[in-house]
Amino acid sequence: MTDVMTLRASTDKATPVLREILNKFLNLPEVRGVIVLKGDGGIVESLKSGMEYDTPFMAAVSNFMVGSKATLETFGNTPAFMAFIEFSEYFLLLVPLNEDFFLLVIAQNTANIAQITQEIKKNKETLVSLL
Amino acid sequence: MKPLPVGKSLGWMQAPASWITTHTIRFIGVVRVVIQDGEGFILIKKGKPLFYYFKHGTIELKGNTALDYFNSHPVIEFNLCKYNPDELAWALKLCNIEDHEPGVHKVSVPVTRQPSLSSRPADPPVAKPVDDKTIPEPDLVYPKEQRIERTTVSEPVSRQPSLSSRPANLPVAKPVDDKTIPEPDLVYPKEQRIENTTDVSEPVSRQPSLSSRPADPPVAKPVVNKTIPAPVAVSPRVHTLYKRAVVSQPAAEDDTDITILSQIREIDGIVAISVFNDTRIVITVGDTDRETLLKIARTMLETAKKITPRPTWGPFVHMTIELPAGNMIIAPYRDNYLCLLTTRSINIGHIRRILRDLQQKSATQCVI
Repeated sequence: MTDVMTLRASTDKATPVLREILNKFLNLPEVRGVIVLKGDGGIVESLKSGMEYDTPFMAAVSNFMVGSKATLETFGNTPAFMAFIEFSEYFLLLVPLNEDFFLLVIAQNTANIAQITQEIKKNKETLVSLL
Repeated sequence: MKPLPVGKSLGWMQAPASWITTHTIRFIGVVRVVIQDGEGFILIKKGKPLFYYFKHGTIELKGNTALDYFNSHPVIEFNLCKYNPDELAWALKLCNIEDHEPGVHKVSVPVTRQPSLSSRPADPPVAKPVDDKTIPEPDLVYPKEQRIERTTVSEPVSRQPSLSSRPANLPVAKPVDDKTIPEPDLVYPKEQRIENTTDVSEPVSRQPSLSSRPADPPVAKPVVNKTIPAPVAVSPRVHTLYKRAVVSQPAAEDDTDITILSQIREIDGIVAISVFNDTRIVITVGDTDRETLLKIARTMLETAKKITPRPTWGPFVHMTIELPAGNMIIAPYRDNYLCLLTTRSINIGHIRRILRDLQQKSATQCVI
């Protein structure tokens, strides 16, 4: 059973639908959080399950976003990238939705990455249409 | 001087001369050195240098004189060539060295080897095989052959333009009395240790640099053969990013670095693999722009360090950036970090498996 909470209320009328889609990711085994990010690291929407989105965490997420983009710049002009960082207990998967928005999935190490990426593929278009 | 047995080439590297003795604790063979237009060698038995030799034109340096000349260069280019007991015994004889240590077969030089030298009079034992990049794996541990595109140990220096100006096929010694020695079964000898971890590195440059020109070509001096000091022990670095679950033993941890890296490099889709730390690239296997690689790897490492603070996530395992052109991966490796460049044919699942295998290998080697 998941304890789904939104980090913050959104005034965007598309948010309920967005949350509904994001919730699909939380329903995957071992997935603990999902966040839609802007290219600058700003958070558009987020859901979590069994973990805290405190300030240090959000800072870490933004750093991951910004750092990954900085890495990308050393390669030159690369339109899209995916970043993955793994720790012994959790991993973070950052996937581009379009040029401006990214999806970040936080999951336990035992989670099935293929299943997550499959879910992202299935919902990418819908997510982009809502942003 | 008569040419030494050829031995089994393990690959060309670039490093300071001091690096050689501290990284060849299990190595028995000859280290063939190329500096500018001159060539030479260091005969080594398990980290103990037995004989130094260098020849530049008609000038020959031996013993500490040759060592001093090697040390006068911040970086030298050399080829590790493994010897079997017969080859070592033959090399010792050629160098007039008595070695009574157990484990080395003292074999007399068979007369039947003499006739073969006429068939290869111009075969230079030290001439750098530019295209010879094959490094076979040891039969006992790793049965399949490995290829190392390029193995480089960097130091923060620039170096002289030695290769382009070096005449081809310049032997270390006149091939007057070359001996044909059977190819040995390989026992991989490499020892990798990071000797200097605090320097800020610049890539080893092959461009001419007057300021970095270490010394003029050697001047003939009396031949001196002295006992060479034993390799310097180097204490391990403490990992700065996190405390790893598997901590390798410093004495053994670098013994198989090149072997392991070469094995990973052999995996389909791996373009290059490199070991780096906060300041420099320690070793690189594969074709890549080392400077760019270090820059990217550093950026990724900084990112990883910034994300680490949450204790519940556990220690950092790896970070991957996936691009249309391929993947860039960094992961902790012993006291440093590993950087992998792969094609897109490798996905994150592959990468995780490779890194897991790598950790297991590394841990196994440490236990052994």
